[in-house]
Amino acid sequence: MPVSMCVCRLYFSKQSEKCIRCYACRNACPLCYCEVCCVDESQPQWFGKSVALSDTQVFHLMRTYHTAGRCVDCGACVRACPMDIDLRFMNKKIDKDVRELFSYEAGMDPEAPLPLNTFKTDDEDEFIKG
Amino acid sequence: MKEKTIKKNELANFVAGLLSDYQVFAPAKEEESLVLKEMQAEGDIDLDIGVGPVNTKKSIKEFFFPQKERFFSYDLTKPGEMEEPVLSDKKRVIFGVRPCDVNSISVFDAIFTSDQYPDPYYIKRRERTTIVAIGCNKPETTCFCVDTGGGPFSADGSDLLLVDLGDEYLVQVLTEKGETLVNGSSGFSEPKSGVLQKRDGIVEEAQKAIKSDIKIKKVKGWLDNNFDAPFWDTVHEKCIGCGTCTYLCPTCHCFDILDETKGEKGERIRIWDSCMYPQFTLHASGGNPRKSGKERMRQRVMHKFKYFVDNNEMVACTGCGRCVKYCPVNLDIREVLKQIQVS
Ligand code: SF4
Ligand code: SF4
Ligand code: SF4
Ligand code: SF4
Ligand code: SF4
Repeated sequence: MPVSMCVCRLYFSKQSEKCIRCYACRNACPLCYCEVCCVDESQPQWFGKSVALSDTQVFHLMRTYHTAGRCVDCGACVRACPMDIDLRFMNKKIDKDVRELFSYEAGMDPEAPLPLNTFKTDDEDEFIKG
Repeated sequence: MKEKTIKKNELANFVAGLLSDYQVFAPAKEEESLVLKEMQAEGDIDLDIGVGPVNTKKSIKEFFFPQKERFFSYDLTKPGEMEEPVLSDKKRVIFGVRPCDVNSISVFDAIFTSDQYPDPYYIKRRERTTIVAIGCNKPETTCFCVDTGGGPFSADGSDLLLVDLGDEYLVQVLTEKGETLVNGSSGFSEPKSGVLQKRDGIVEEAQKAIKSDIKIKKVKGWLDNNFDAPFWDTVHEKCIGCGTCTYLCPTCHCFDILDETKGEKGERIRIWDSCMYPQFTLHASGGNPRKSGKERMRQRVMHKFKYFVDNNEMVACTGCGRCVKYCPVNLDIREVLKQIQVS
């Protein structure tokens, strides 16, 4: 594993350890629109509900992926979090990936199709054809 | 009540002396906030907490009522067998707790040590804990403990209470547990003349610094008759329904009990829950008696300032101000109470 990966994981663990699963970040987020969030589902229960580090990390990974390509980096989650958790840490990495892979920056052009919600049947990438 | 003094430079010695018999926890700075941390070795936590934030971000409640409590584990391939955790009975001292947090223990005692529903987990943790509180010479702007029956030097719930007099602490010895701590150390002296007057001056000044002026009895009188008032239609509007105010609150004690399983194995756990979540009252049928933010905010205010008073003759709020400070939308409970007060 490259060294930088270890450092990132450690940092992510350290940040996640502080989380009390209050969901202020999710509730303050303009993109979290689901009527029932996957962490609140009980049938089936997708996530452990305690503050076990693995469950907390899955929650954060899940939220990061669910806002990938849509997060406009407004910082509402960071301001809402009572535990001073650096919630933009992973979103920024995903923003960068989306910019590099799709030349897309969320929030800049309301008309532009969302890169992760769009597909073309004649896409030149092999994986899309399944 | 006995009173002693200890020089500030003797305090570290006194606390280090406890390490052989007790686990010791004390507020330590982590990034910008204070957390209660276990002292591993003499001097690894700076006990001079006079600067920076007054109180820890998380309250003392997790020491008695952790966010997750495992009741037992099971394995479906071994019917009838279950494994229960063995709770530690190692004695511990929690040092430097603020009065609003020690006062919250009365609220927890009323719930978890009642004759009707004694909670063995809570009781065991309470028994093994000695609390050394420290009064607040400089309350924060969010503090309103004087309005909820406490105060910056309220001792209720602590075993020792320290008052910072500048170069020394006045130590109020409140219980036998507190006395045991003091007797085991040579750093304590009898208060010199004038010390108690000095203390009274500091207490008075700190109390005066809290200016919120909420009349808790008046609030209760209004709540008694206004479950359906139009007030509730709007007061909740900016709330985003997170659990911040209740999870950080030293008195909120609601929980959920559930099973978490992996394959054939599972555990039954108790976790914190919050009346600010829609799921809190969601029925299996899909119905929800507290279906909007209105009912949920009303529940939080009513529980703290009416129902708990009806049942236990005390408010379920110690005025610590955490919900004021950390609410992401600045929904200030003091403002809510004041609006009620003038209604
Ligand atoms: S707001 Fe902070 S503490 Fe609360 S769930 Fe989000 S990351 Fe965790
Ligand atoms: S912390 Fe504020 S926004 Fe969150 S539930 Fe409490 S009152 Fe509502
Ligand atoms: S309701 Fe707010 S001020 Fe009162 S004890 Fe709870 S967190 Fe502190
Ligand atoms: S009902 Fe709400 S306000 Fe009352 S203890 Fe439970 S979470 Fe706290
Ligand atoms: S609310 Fe009172 S006891 Fe609590 S930190 Fe503030 S001044 Fe101290």
